[in-house]
Amino acid sequence: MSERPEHADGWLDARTGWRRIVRSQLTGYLLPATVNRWYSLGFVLLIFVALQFLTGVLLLIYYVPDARFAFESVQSIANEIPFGWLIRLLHVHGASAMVVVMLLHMLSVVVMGSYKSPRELHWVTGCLLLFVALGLCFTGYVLPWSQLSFWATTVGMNLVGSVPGIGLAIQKAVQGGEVVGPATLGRTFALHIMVLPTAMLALIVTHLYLVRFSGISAPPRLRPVVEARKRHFFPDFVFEDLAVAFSVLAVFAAVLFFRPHLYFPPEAFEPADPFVTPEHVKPEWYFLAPYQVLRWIPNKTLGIALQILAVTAIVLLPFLDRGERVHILRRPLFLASLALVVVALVALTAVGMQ
Amino acid sequence: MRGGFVLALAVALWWVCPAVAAEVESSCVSCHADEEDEELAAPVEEWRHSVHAEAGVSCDGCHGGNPFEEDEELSMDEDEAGFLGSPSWREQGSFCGSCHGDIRDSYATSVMASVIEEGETVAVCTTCHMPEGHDIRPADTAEILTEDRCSECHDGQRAVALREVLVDLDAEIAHAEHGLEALRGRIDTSSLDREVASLRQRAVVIAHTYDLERISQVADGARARLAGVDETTEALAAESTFRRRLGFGVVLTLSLTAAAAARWKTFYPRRTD
Repeated sequence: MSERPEHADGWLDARTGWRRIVRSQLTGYLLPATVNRWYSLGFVLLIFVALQFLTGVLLLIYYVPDARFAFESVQSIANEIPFGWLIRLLHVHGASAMVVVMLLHMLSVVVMGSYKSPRELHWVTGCLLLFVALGLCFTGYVLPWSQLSFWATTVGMNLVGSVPGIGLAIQKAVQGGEVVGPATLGRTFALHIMVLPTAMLALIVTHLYLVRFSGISAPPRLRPVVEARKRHFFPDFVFEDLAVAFSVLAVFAAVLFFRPHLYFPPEAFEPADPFVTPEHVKPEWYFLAPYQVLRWIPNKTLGIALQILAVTAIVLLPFLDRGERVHILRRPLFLASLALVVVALVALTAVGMQ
Repeated sequence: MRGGFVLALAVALWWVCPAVAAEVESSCVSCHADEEDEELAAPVEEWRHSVHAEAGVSCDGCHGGNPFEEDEELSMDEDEAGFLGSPSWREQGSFCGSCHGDIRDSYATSVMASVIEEGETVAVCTTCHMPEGHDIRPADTAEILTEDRCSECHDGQRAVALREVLVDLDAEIAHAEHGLEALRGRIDTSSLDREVASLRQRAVVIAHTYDLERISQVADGARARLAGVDETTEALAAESTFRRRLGFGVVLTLSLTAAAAARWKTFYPRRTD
């Protein structure tokens, strides 16, 4: 009598243990039943990061990281390569969308007090992810080698040079010389496609590990109750995550298709020219607030030092705010400070756009 | 809590206001605007409506002087502040030409420039671009090159022929610009923008020669290039329409998928532990 043939999934399970993984990470993974849709922003963020990686690889096929050909290669991608315009727009708009979702995700974490013990490291790794994302945006801005790239990078590098102590050394190292030039393109290209993406992947893995290790926090309630009810990650939260993700993607697609040049001022269509300074050079929207602060504070080093101090305070938030109260309405001073920061950031960005 | 919001808003407004109010005017503008003598004050208001004001070219851009100096004497000192004053009728070409060099060179080849040294009264820069004051604007060819005005010195019919060529060319360039304007922000038109801008600049420069044969020759060449621009603009318009339709499809699909994902979980038995 011949042996009963083994099914392929059973064969694979015996060698990989995939059924146990699915059970522990999907069907058997339980979350507090009160987890709301704001929690889906993390999933949305993963989609945008994946989109950036995918479109970045596709752009790499045609992009030429050489100051003599970079601008033409990007123009060729946008105007000649079939659907190159779509890939480029997905990458450009995706970068901004990634920052927007990241900021919203962080805001929801702050409002719900999810950074508090024992999840301090979730917050710290999240902040580091934001810095890496901003680094990716900045280095990506250089690559088209347009007037916008060249002069926005010059402004940005001068700001980096104002950092007390190590600023000038970092500026020269990234620029590859005293001023922004062809050497800058090579260095930012290496940072953009290898160093920073690797750092981002490592931080994402760490962040997700920490989330699984400490568990997701339940949204705080005004009146503390013992909430024992749990819901399954799959299918409950997976479908909720998908519903939120597709809604965000629909808005993203609407902006991309109907306002395709939202992030392209006229200087983005002119090749870099070190001898012609455009009339209005501004950094991308997510750098406008710090840029505006530096315009108002006459001493650039003091302005940078103050901002480094502010950013350090934000990163160390869980260690500075160690109170027992979690619900935001129970912490009026914290709520006022948060409102002040948000309003100030929005106002500074709006003024910077003028 | 409400106090926190009000405080935040007040601080943000306090922070924002200084930047909004921080526009600095030159001493030329601030002093002349307050002059009681209408002849000295009027240029300021006229200049505010000029193409120079739009381009950020202030009084000192043409007349020299130091716009940061508050002292009247010092701000208009010829040696210290490089004050130039107003040019004579004959000096206008080189005065305006210090910025508009290509037009100065073109005008220098015209029959008008050839007789200006002989003391003839001919049209100079201000005749067409500053007929009533400092509200300097691009001249309207159709209004300027009229039989009445030009027949004072020239054959009136030649002026009419010149006007026809220039007005037709201007209309064709405007048509191309209009076509590109409709696509602005939707698709990359930068190379066509550059081409049309160079054609317009060439037309403006060559117009200042007042040489019918040369202008006609340039206009013919420009028309051939404009035909190519129109053809490419049409192709880009079709591409833009395709992209928008694709956009509608993608947004609709994503929205429906989002709605389906929100509903699909109901097909699974809800379990709580």
